[in-house]
Amino acid sequence: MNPESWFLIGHIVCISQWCAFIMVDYAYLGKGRVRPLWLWTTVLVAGELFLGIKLNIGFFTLLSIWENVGFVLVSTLVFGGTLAQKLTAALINGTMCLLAENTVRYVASWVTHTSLLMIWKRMDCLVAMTITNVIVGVLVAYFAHRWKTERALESPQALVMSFFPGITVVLNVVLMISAEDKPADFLMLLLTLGLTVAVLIHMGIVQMFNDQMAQQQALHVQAALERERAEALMDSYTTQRRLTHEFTNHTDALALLLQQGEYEEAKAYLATVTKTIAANTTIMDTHNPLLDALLSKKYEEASREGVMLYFDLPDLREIPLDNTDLVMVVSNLLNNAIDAAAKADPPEVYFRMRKTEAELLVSVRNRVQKNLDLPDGQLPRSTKKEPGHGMGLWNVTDVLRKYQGEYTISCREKWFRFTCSVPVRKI
Amino acid sequence: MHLLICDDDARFAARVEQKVRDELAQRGIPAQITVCTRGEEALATPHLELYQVALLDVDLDTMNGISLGRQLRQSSPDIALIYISAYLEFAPEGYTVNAFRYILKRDMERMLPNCLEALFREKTASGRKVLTIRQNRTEMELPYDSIYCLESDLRKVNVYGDVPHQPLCSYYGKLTDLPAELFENGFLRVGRSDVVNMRYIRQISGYKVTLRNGVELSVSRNGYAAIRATYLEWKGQFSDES
Repeated sequence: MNPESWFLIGHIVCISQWCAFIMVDYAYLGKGRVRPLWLWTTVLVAGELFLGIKLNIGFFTLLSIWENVGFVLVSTLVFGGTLAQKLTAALINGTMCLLAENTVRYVASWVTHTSLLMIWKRMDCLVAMTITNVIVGVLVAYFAHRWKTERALESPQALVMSFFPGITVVLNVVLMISAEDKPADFLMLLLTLGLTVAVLIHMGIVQMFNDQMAQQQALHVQAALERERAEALMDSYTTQRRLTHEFTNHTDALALLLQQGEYEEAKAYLATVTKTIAANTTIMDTHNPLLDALLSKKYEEASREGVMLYFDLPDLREIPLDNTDLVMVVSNLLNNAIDAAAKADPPEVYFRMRKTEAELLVSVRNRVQKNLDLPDGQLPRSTKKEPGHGMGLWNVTDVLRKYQGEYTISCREKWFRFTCSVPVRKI
Repeated sequence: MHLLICDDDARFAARVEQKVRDELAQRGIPAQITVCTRGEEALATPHLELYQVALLDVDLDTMNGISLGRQLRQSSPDIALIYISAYLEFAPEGYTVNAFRYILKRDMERMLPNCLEALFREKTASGRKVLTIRQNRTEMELPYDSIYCLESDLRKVNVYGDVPHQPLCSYYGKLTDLPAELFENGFLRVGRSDVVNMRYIRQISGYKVTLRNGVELSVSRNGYAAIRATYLEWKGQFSDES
């Protein structure tokens, strides 16, 4: 291959690799503050290309490894995510790049009997490398996106899981720089392929573990919801039993008044009894018994925390959510709001629902201690350390997705707002 | 400030009156408070149109507090209704009065001060809700409620009301020069040349905003998601369509 073709195709391989990194970053980290994303990622790739040409870094050299390390780290800055997530994305990219490159290199060298140092001078090898980069990039981006969406693995678990790929990266770097000027022998080929297969199996195991964790968390959430619903209904039932007991006393008193012919007294007494009964059951009536019980319970919880919880609700007899999903949405939204408002001054929460022919609107506003950083309306991260926590709003959004609903969150002037709508006609 | 308190429990009404007096005195607001124990008495109060706030029980002896609130609104359309009740009943007709707050009697002492604070803040802010247009040495004030949308047309801005395609007024200016306060009060820029009052949006779909008077406006594709999100948040907080 002449130097011009080598220069051109070599850089195409590099660009395909950087594009693969960007795909994985985008899938795993999502959008960040830097806008517009397409412009900055293009600037990044162009800058890296310029640097490579200007400094004459070359291809598949030790210096080019450092160039790529720099790229995988810097590219994460353009995207969202936490520091730990950015480092994980960099590790995923590093593993992906080295595995793909070494596998193609050793397989091509073994098949064509070409020296490991000269293999990159072959056009077919470079084309294979470019295609591999794109295919592997798309596949890894797909799995990275799934992990991010399922988000079952907590940070420490994810860190432990990335230990093995970390070792693989080191071994691949050793393989790369220790390549001799002769064709790959069968042992080295097996070693390279073995590492690739091992990483694929490892990814499979991580995926299985992740699925199990997701399933466990779903069960955990389900159990918590059932408990919440049972407690709310139990509170309501206990109150009803107490009232039934009291009612006997009231009927006795009424009977006595009527026997004595004191009808006006009886009427007045009846009026007070009616009010007392209303005030002692649940604190509200939306004509939806489960919601009444649940909201009454949340009101009591808020009162205990010193939080002022204001309701503004319509008649909620028929709403486009089934009971389990209703508990999921209302409990999670109010739990989060009450927790946050309890630390704020003044501790206030507003819960508003509106029902129209087209949709059910739910709006929760609560005071917060300080404004939250929510780039692009992303859900806030949990501040709690216990496993399973911080999933509340994620679960609410899962329910909304199920009903083809939409939501928006914002935080300004120390008010956190979560608003969602569920279409009525699509049920 | 004129306030009306109506609760069939005279002792509780007196407690509310005392609490309100204390709160107003703290803020240096002179108060004219009328306390009633029956709905009919409340409706017969002289100069009802002067009253700005009514604190009502929902369950009155001879009248429903919600229908009392609705009748008070007929005499005094801007009156703020605060329901203080032993029990919060959100019946179908309940929320159509658009009450400012619902408070439980047992929490009156704790919640009323914050409620009044929020109310005073809102009352103070609501005094300025007009768009002032200065042109040719004349000044014109258009209430926000009367504006459906504003459209930029070359060097002019056309202000439209409920009648489609017939501007309430036109003046030389730019949409970028509109006061920030307008956008804090339910107006939303939906494209390069249109600002709409969210109160009059019927729906946003297919990159179009449809207003209640049937006017359709194009929404910028870049900002479409953000515009929908802003409208959703506004609906959640303010819309009162039944």
